[in-house]
Order: sequence, then C-alpha cells, then structure tokens
Amino acid sequence: MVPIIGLSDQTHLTNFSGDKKAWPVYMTIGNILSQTRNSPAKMSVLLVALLPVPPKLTGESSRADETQRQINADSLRAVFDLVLAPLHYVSHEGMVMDCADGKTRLCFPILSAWIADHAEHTTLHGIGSKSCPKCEVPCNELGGNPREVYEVRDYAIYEEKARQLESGEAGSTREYFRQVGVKIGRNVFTGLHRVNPSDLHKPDLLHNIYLGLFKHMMQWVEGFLKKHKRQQAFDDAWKEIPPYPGFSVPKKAYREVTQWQGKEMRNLSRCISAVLASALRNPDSSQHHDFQIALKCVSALVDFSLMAQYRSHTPDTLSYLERYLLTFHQTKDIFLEFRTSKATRAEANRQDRELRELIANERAHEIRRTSAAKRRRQADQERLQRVNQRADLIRRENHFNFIKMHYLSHFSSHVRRFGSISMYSTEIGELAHKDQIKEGYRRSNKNEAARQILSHYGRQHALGMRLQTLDVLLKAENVVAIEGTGRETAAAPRRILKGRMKNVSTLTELCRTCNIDYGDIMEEMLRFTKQTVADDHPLSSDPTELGLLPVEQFTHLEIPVADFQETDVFQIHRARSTGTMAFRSGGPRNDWVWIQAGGEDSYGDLRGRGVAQLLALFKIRNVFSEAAGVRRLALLRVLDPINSGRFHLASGHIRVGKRRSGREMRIVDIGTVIGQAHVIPTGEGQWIVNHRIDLRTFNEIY
Amino acid sequence: MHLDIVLSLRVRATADQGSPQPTAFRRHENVDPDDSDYESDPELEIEDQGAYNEIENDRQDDSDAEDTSEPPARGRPSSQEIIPGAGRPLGDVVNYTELNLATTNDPWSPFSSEADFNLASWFVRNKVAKSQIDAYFADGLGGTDARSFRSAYTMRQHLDELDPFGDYLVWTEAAIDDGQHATTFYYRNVIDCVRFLIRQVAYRSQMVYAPVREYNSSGERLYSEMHTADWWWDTQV
Repeated sequence: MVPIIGLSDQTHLTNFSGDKKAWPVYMTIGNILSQTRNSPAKMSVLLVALLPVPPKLTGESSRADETQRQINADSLRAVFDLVLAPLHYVSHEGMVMDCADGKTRLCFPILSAWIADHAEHTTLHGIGSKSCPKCEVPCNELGGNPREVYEVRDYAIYEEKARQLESGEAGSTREYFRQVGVKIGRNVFTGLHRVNPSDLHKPDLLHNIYLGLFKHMMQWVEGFLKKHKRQQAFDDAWKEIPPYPGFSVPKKAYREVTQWQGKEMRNLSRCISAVLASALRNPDSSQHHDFQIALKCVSALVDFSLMAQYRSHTPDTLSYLERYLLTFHQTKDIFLEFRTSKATRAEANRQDRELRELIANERAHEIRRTSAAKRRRQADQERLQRVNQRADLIRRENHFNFIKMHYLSHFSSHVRRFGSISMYSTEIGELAHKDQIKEGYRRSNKNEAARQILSHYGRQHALGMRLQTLDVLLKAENVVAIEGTGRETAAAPRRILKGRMKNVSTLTELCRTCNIDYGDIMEEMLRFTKQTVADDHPLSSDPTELGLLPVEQFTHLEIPVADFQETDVFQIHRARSTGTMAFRSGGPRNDWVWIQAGGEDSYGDLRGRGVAQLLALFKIRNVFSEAAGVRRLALLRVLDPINSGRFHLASGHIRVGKRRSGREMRIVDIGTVIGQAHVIPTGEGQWIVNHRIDLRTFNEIY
Repeated sequence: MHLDIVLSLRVRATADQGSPQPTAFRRHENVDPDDSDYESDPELEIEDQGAYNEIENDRQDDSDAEDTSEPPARGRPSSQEIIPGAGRPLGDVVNYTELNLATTNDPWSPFSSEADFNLASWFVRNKVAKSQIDAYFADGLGGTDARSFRSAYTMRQHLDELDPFGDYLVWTEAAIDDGQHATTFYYRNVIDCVRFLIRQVAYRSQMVYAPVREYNSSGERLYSEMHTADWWWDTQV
C-alpha cells in the first residue's frame, strides 16, 4: 500500500509589494521514512499542482460575495476532482509498480494525510471556521473536556444529505448542516475509495502549539503577571537565562519584544516554565494558591508540547500526553479572566459608554440640588457600578472555545493511528515553498511566472535526484568492496578540550587566571590524587611536586551527547569556562554542567546527577612518571539539590542551591561531565533546574 | 447553484510517450521490514575514573561515559508483528540492474564529464540567465576543451534528458472557466508522481512497503513511523 501525503498552503510570492499569490499542492508518500521524507535536500516532496488562486471577494455586496464564494468553492472542487481523478481507479484495483529495490509490487495508493493549516482545511473540507474537520464538536465546546468524545464526521452522510437538498427537501436539512458547521457540498475529498476525509487532518505543532496556543498563553501570562505585579521579576529572570546548545539566549527584555517568530516561540516554550517559576518565587499567602495553579497550567502545556514531539511513542508516553492535557484543561481557568476576545472587549466598551451616558442624563436633571460632597460620592458609586458591570460581562463572555484548543484532544489518538506527530509538521510545506516556488518566481521575469517556476525547479530536481542516485549506487559498490576486509564501525565521538589559553603553565598561574585561592586548589588536587586507583598512575601526592607539574588551561570542552531517541546522531555541547576572561565581548562565561555524582537512586529525581559550574578546564602532565602521562581535569563548583532532589510541589521544578557546608569545589576527570545543564537563577544562592530545555533532559528528569 | 464550470485540457507538447522504460532485476538482499534504522542501544557503563586512551593532542576517549538512563519504556523495538504477505514483491523490475549499472558506468550522461555536470549544476543553482550562459561560452570562458554543451539551449536539453524517470513528472496545463474568469493552472498526474517516488533508487534504504507492529522489551506497543501505527495496518489488504 502506498499512503499519499498531500500538502497545500497558499503563499505570497513577493515580500514587500504586490499581491502575487500561489497555491501550490505538494505530495509525498508515506513509504519513505520520515527522516528522508522531511528533509528538503532529499527532494522527496513533489509539486503536483499549482492551483488557481481564487479572486478576492469584492466586498461590495454580501450577495455578490456569497455568489463568488460559491463559485470559488465549486471551481476548487472541480480542480481537485481533476487532480485526484487518477486515484479513483487505482485505489480500487491497485497497480503493479516498480519499486526502488528492484521488485515490482501491487500498489494501492491511498490518500492518507493532508497537511495544511486550519484556514486551508476549512476551505478544502468545506466547513465553518470554528468547526473541527475531524469531529462534530459544537463551537461553544471547543475548550471543553478533552476526554469528551464527539461524533466523528462522516462526510458521506453530508454528501447524501446534500443530494436530498437538491431534490427538494429543504428546511430541516439546511438546519442540520448549520448545526454541524458544514457548508453544503464543498468537501473536495469525498468519494475517494478508502479515504475517510475526517482522517486527513493532521495535528500541526508549528501553527497549533507554537504560533497558536503559546501565543495565547503568553497573553494570559502577561495579564497574570500584571495583576500580581511580577512583571519586573519576570523580566529580570528573562534576562538571566543562561546559554544552552541549540537555544539562543534572548537579547531583549521580554516586554521589549514586539514580534515573535516560530523559532523564538520554540525557544520561549523551552524556558518559560522555569522563568515563570523564578518570577513567581516567594508568593505571599493570598497569592500562593493562584501561583501554584498558574505554574501547573503552563508546565502542563509545555510538557504536552514536548511529549508531542517524541518520535516514538508507547502507550505509556501517550497516557502521559493525555494526562498533561487534562491537567492543562483543569488548571487553565486561572487565566480565564485574561482571555478576553476582541468582540467581548468591544461589547464591554459599548456597555460602558451607554451606562455613562445614562448616568450623565440622569445627573443633568438633579445636578443643581446636590452638594459637592454628595456629587463626589455619587461619582464614586457610578465608577464602581461601571467596573462591576464590566467585570461581570467579561466573566460571562470569556471562554476557551477556540479551535486550536480543541485540536489538542486529537493528538494522542492520532499517534495511535498515524504515528508520531512531529513528522506531519507544516514546516515541510513551508520549506518546499522556498525551494520550489519562491526561488523560481524570483528568477522568472514575473510574466507568465507559473510556467517558469515549474521548469526551473524541474531542472534543479533532475540534477539533485541524479546526484542522490549516484551517491546511493556508489556507496552500495563500496560497501561490497569493503565487506571483504571487515567493515569499520564509526567511532563514537570523543570529549575534546579546546581553546588553549596562553600564559598558563603551572597551577599557580591557573589560580591567578581563575581568581581562586591556591591553597584550595592544592587541597582539592591532593584529594583527587588520593581517590585515583593505585595502578592508574596517580599524580604525585607531594604538594610541591604537584605545583611544579606543567599545566595547560583550556576555555571549552566539547561533549558529544547522543540525540534523543537516536543512537548514532550526536549533538556537541560546548561547555565554556573562560575563568575571569571575557567571552566574545561579553562578561566571563562559566557554564553549568551535569556531572555524574552517584548511582541512579541518589539525588532523588535528578537520578544521580549533580549540577555544577565549570571554573576551569585543564590538563596536567605528570613529568615525573613515564607511564602516567596526561590527566584532563575540570575544576567545578558543585551545587546541592534542595529537598534532596525531589520536585518542588508548588512549582513542579527541582531546585539546587549553594553548598552550605563542606567543600564547594571539586576536581574531577572530564569524563564525569555529562553535558550542559540549564539552570535559572532565583536569587538567594538558588537555581531552578530547567529540565524542559530539550527532549533528552525532559525524558530523563520527570 | 449550478454554474458552468468548464475544464479544458491542453496537454503540453513536451511529452507523453507512454511509461518510461521500467526494468529488471537483481536479487535484493532482503525486503524484511526489519531493515529499518533501528539498532540496539548498547548498554554503556558510567564510571567516574575511566581508563582513557592517550591520543595525540587533546582528544580523549569517552566511550565509557555514555548515558545509560533511558527508561526502559522508551527503548528500541525488540519484537514485531507483521501481516504475512503484505508488501510482498510480485516480480522483478525489468532492466533494474542494467539501468543502475549504466548510471554508475556513465554517471554524468548526457553530460560528458563531471566538470560539465558541475558547471551545468552551478548555472542552474545560481540562476544564471540563458543569455548569460550563452555569453559565457561566446566569451571563451568555457575553455577550449571539448564540452558536451556550449549553449544554454543544449544544456537545457541535456537537463531534460538527465532524469530517466522524467516522463513521470510531466505537467498538464488546464484552464478553468467559472463563467466570469478563465484561469489556467497546472498539475501532474498523482499516480505518476507516486510511481516516480517509489521507483527512486536514492530512497531504497529508507523505503517500507508493509505495516508492522513494534514492541519494546517490556511488550509495550511502539508508535513511531507511519507504518508502525494502526491506520496502515487496518487499511492494508
């Protein structure tokens, strides 16, 4: 079987002027594994059609607009019928096709997915903009309980009903269509064999979560912070976010950012819950409850979005996913007062005005007879009345019934039916636009552009495919050649010290550049030496001898960290330690790292990991012993987990703090450093561990 | 409301000479759905005082410091279930080996050399205009060596021949007339696109033909790629 995945997205061709638009439709097949399918360089997404962009509604009269809308819908349907026509016969009977491995197979191509944003889906499915393409959820229950199951849409029934309508049975049928939010006869996918149009919709991380819910949520959070006067604290915490691989540190204060892009939103989602926890620290007794719920809500949404990105799910992770969603729904009411729609706000303003006029009229009659004090009292009363009225209205009207909220409830069932969510992102389409449409358009003479776009990409595609084919074929030959001699396995990447510092050749000099007391470091060195096993060529235990050994200091350590749910893809963490020197025209940078400090069962939920700050990275050469050679060491400042590493109940985070007693500094071998850690300072010598920074950390600490 | 929507088709002159030369065959290693990219995760130990190999400069082996703490529930598939007969090959593609061999023996055809291919590729990638390409050769920048093309026209002809399955990707031009406006649009045959993709040797190591149910070591179902989920399984005939 060949599942076809379709993508479509209307897009603008020009950046600043004009309104040249294109409406490309792409396709790819589900037989290709997602890693290849979603990589633009592999060119496995083919353009199948450039649809006519419908003329804009003139807005002159509603009747003309309605006619135009119907015309647009009808032509769209006609075009889709034409494009999808070849599928009809073949999906019934199958077709013998040549496959890449040199076999022929009987193939049944079936349309299985349509990746597009919500606006696109409503057009293609012919449904109202507040209806879900998957199920018949009424528009005032979109923000309801995610466990609630609604009737799955059956587009065949709609078709049936539409036919009845044509044969004269009006009235109740129209009412039925209005109720389920369907426009009559406008779905372009009906009638395809074995295709259920309600299955085509795919959850979309980019638009639904990052540009959708997170954007909404940030508005609520802003409102919440304002109410509790924590904006400054939030901005402060925002500025203190430390760097992390694959995470760009925000350069501006939160309130200074005016426009958020997808990538920035993604960054935000990775740190928001810890930053918020830091901003909402030390609540007073009246705020305690609210803060706790707000944090819970935000964390639940972040957890949900992280979990949804997993590339491989088990029933276990899916139940987590559902639980996070439920928590989010249970706690989201804390933000209800900040979720005011434009319509509601306008309505509130209108009522406000009316009331004011009413009162002004009344007052005009009696104004002469009242004293100044009484007038003042009256004015106060009026103001109170107005405020109450407004609050009432907002409380009544605010709701969470928007479509993106509802989509979340389909995520877990989608994973069961179609696999992980991240591979159906609309980003694929957006990348395809860039290569296949926009480049071609820019190159064209803007006249009869479509044809030039098509032929331009055709040539590029041919070149690219040839190169890929050659690559695969030549590799296959090489493998055969090597197999005789025994294939070499790719060596795992190693930890590397980089950036040698000048002017450091002994421990004394090291202490100077790092501003550390020589006595401390020597004490640590001796301890470290004692721990070393005897046959492992320990360093000298004589302080004076140690002090003479040549030392080299480095500024960063490259740690290969296996990517989440991968075994052979590594991400390089560059943990920096510049001592007191400036890093790239900024202040000195001494990164936070995870160290392996004990077994799985120690340190509570941190599972044997400790947080530490790099103070210095150095190499020491034991010149007195031939065999001993070089040791690569890291000087760390170790933090202690608070509450023995358990999750803080109120905020759902683990906190670490400065060591109260005992040695703060430790020297360890660089093999002990596992990777970079992301911690957000909360003042008072405490830090919050941000385990939502990436999927790997999220998976390990929970 | 009924509108006269007229669809008129004009097939572009470029091509529709039947299906391209499909092909032969070679015994392929295995079509086991298991040949996916999963490998078992080696249990690695964490040790504080690992033995490090001395290598030149500042590299050091850290194979002893890999993280082990992946919870068992999220591991790699350890067992799987398949539908017998699903994705079963029927026969062999005609000329498969020959075509692959021809490609490896004459990798740059219809260009005569790698240099020619790269030059053409460079022209296309950098969107050099047709007239500029002609000027390039007219000014003698192309050198005096024998080249398989000396004008933009021949280059484009070569490019058209480059893809052996290019015939699958022919565009059809159609016009739609809704009574007020007539608009042209372009489309490809969806089935041919499928045939194109599924035939690409470039994707052969990344191709699956049948659904599979994967389980991890504790017997839990794993959902990852499309073919490991329920829809494909349920729809498979």
